[in-house]
Amino acid sequence: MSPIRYVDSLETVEPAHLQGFFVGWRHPFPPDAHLRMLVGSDRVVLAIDAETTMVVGFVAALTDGVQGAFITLLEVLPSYQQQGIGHELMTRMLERLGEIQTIELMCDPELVPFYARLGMTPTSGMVLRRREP
Amino acid sequence: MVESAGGDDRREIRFQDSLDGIESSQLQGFFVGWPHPPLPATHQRLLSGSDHVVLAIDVEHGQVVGYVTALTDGVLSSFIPLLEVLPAYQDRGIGQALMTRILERLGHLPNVDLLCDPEVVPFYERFGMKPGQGMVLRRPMG
Repeated sequence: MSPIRYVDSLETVEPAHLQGFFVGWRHPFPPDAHLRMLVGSDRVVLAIDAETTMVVGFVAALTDGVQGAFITLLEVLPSYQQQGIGHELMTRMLERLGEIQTIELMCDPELVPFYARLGMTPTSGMVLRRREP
Repeated sequence: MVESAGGDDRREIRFQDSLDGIESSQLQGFFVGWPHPPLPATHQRLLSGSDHVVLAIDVEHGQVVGYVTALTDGVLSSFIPLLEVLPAYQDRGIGQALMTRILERLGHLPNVDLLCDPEVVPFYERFGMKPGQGMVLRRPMG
């Protein structure tokens, strides 16, 4: 396993570092749109392979800076899964959102235990998908 | 944008999508049922920190009687953290008008998500939303 380094800024990240994400999406976001989405987020944490310098995982959040935050996306590349990278990304994001009272996300039902380990509680939500991304 | 709601409501309601001219003294009585409701000044800060807001204002006395907020990355995702109408102004379509307006403002974004109590699922289904699995972490406010 390559050593993983975690960063919470996009300073050194270019679209070329964002390859292979949006696994299973019908229309995966191209790397430049992926970077724009990260830039447009209020907080991000990235997992970077220290040897290749490629981004291998990321988590993004939106927040009003006061009361509420929403985790929009969390993804770890398939070949880097089962190493605790997703858990570490979430732990660091929850720290980065330390002053925020309510942190929410939507997920597939099979991921409930993963988020429950981080202290989160299942609840109901609604989603509107206006086009296939 | 300033519009007036039509209909037979006893009071005239106007909707606006900016905080221009809004002071925290106009934000009273919200966060009904919250164990630690944010103060009006905190409420104003969370509105300022949102990417989009729509307010419902009672024209007669200028008080905010309903609001909705949205956060977005501008590319893919948006999220509606809060929608509230004061109890005395409920059941007049104000919540529906607020949701319609915020969804218009988010019109270019593929994904809109929110978390809600199970009993308001039918309300959001009217906007084409579908129920999903949510997770929440609530921490005491410092």
